Amino acid sequence: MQFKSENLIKAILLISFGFIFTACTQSDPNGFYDPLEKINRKTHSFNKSLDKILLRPASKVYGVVVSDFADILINNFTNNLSEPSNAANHLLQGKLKKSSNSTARFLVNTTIGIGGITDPASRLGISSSESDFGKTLHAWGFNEGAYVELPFYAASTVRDTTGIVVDFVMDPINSIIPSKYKPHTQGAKLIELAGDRNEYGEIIDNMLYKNEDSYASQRLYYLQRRRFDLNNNTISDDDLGNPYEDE
Amino acid sequence: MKMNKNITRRYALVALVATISFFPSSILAFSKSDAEGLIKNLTVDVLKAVNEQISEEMMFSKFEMIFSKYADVPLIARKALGPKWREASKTQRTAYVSAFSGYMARYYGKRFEDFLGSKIIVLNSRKTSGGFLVNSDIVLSDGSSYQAQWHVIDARGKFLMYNLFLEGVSVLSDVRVQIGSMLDKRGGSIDKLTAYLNTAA
Repeated sequence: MQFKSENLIKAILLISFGFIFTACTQSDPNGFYDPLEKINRKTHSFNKSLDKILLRPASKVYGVVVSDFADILINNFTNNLSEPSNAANHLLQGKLKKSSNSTARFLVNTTIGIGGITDPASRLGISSSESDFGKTLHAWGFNEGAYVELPFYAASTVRDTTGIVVDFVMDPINSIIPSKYKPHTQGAKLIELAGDRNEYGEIIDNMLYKNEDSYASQRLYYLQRRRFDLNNNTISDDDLGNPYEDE
Repeated sequence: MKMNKNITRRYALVALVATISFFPSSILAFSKSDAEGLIKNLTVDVLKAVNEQISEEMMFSKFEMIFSKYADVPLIARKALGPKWREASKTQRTAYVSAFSGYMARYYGKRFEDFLGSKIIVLNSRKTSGGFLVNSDIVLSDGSSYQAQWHVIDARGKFLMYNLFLEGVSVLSDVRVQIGSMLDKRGGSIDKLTAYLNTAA
């Protein structure tokens, strides 16, 4: 798991870039900071049409062609590919137990689990927990930053976008898997995208095509869901608001 | 002598009734188990309605009854509308709350439809300012589970549901986004909003 020094420099640059953006942010009364709303809404329409003509139809095909059993195998395979990155991020957050769990899961599932298509680690009681560099930045005290809707990628924040890029360039899996297999792993991730879209089909359909304002709904779902996740699944008193307050 | 005794008794009784009825509601505030009990009953009723073989329309009207029993619908309606509430006249407010009540039943109802065949397990609760947050797990028929947190508040001496958080997402905020957008599309007219809400899902 040796990072290339070039990648390390890129990551440091990105973190500093992210810091500039996240260090000086303020939230509106709803707790959402969205100064880029105008551009974001344009990206949203783009993403929506992309979903309509590409991802949604692909997910329908996935639903028909891929059996439930194959779906589980694909899921396991792509999940296993992200374990080294989970391990690295847990380590960076000082979560040693979770980090060693992710490492053990990767070792067990890649070998006994036939390259990761099955998940014997879970049966052995080695629990999984996902992480990413956005979470690491949160643990290090970086603010969420502005809400951004990324082309092709949908909802994010400045902090999470920084995380996505760092995870992409620094992913330890790149040093583990020979580069000739890279197209295969990237291909599996793309197929998995259609699989995920299929799994959450109705929820996403409702959000994008039935809600009054799909942009605002997606922003709400992403930010509140993400904050809930970052706060160890707890709802704070701030989230509850004051029911008795007049507005 | 005998009469005196009766009078004393009567006074004691009157005093007792008076004490109970005029006891400040804040002192008689409900407890943790009341809040958890409310959500247990609410979820039992919701799952019963979902699992009955009835038309969607009938199910929604059942939800409307369930909410009028367990939730503070007028307060939720007011919160969903936001600052516009202050501008509305008394008749406009009444009409809006009534239209909202049907809309809320359909809006929540659409989400509750996914609970067909699922179990809702009330786990615990914690005290918040003016109420409780009740923790529960929704276990769907395919085995996947979601976290749902119910915000129960002391609504003028009666405890009622105020908000629901599904995986951290506030349904009240969600409804507020929808209502705000509907209002904007109708040039801020509360009458047009109310007319639309009567049919919107």
